[in-house]
Amino acid sequence: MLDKVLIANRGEIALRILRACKELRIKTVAVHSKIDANLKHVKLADEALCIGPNPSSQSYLNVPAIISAMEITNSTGVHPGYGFLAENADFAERVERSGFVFIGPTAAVIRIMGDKVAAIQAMQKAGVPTVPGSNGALNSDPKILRETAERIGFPVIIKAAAGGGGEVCGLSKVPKR
Amino acid sequence: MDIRKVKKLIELLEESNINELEIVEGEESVRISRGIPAAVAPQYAVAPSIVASPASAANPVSMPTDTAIEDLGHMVCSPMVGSFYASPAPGASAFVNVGQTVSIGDVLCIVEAMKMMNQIESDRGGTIAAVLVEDGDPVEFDQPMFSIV
Repeated sequence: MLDKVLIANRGEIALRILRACKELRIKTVAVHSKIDANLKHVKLADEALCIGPNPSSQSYLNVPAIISAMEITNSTGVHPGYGFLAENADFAERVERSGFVFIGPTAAVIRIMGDKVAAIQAMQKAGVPTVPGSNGALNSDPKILRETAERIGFPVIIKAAAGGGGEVCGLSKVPKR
Repeated sequence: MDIRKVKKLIELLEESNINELEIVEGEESVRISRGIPAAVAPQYAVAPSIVASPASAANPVSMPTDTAIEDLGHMVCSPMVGSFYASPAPGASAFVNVGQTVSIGDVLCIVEAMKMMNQIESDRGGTIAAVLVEDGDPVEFDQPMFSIV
């Protein structure tokens, strides 16, 4: 089904995808910014093309440029790797709507999992065991917060509903008086 | 030397009026001279850096002929990835032809990206010295499309 994959990433991530494609005998297209023309994955791919200037916002994050690159190279699918457009539901959707395969979860799944509140609800609904928690967004009332924390049991972790990479996580080991 | 580089040099030679090209890089050197016109159409992986800055210190170029690459003139490069169209509609005459005089703002071609027809205007006045891509060819970002002298 997949006979040519466009790699929408760079560096070691792109190399990892490239290796997998080679093993599966899938042709590869590397896309790169102006400054990355000499990176190893660009040289090793079956085809390579420059999609934009150096800032990633105008190259690796440039959705129209990547879809256009898929069109002119007759790629069947795109592998976003991780970072860049990998968790961008709109990108996944536009890829599918343009008639290409997005190698990754569907746009709907990306949206659900990007929002931690929606994610835990979807997991519970599917019967996946989860750690005990507030089962939804936190209230700003200190009394309810304390009750919630005591019901869960200390230590508790406070996490933002969106964002990634462990950012904006707060750890509370003991109840503060 | 990387085979792609050699391929790009061949393309560069094909697109120009030069008969012979020799590149020396450290201990490696390659000499390409024009024989029978090649039947292979140029792919979209033209090396813009080589075309745009032929005289850079990193790529010392020795020219056996009088024609220097600098004579290729000002390059109009593609601002995006897409398909190159020389004319406003299939079958219509081209926006510009070699030898034609153009002014700043004149439409030179269309680059289609995601069904959007983007008219590319000239950023330099002068005479079209060369059209470096064929109608319908894919172009990458910053790929030279026209040479204006």
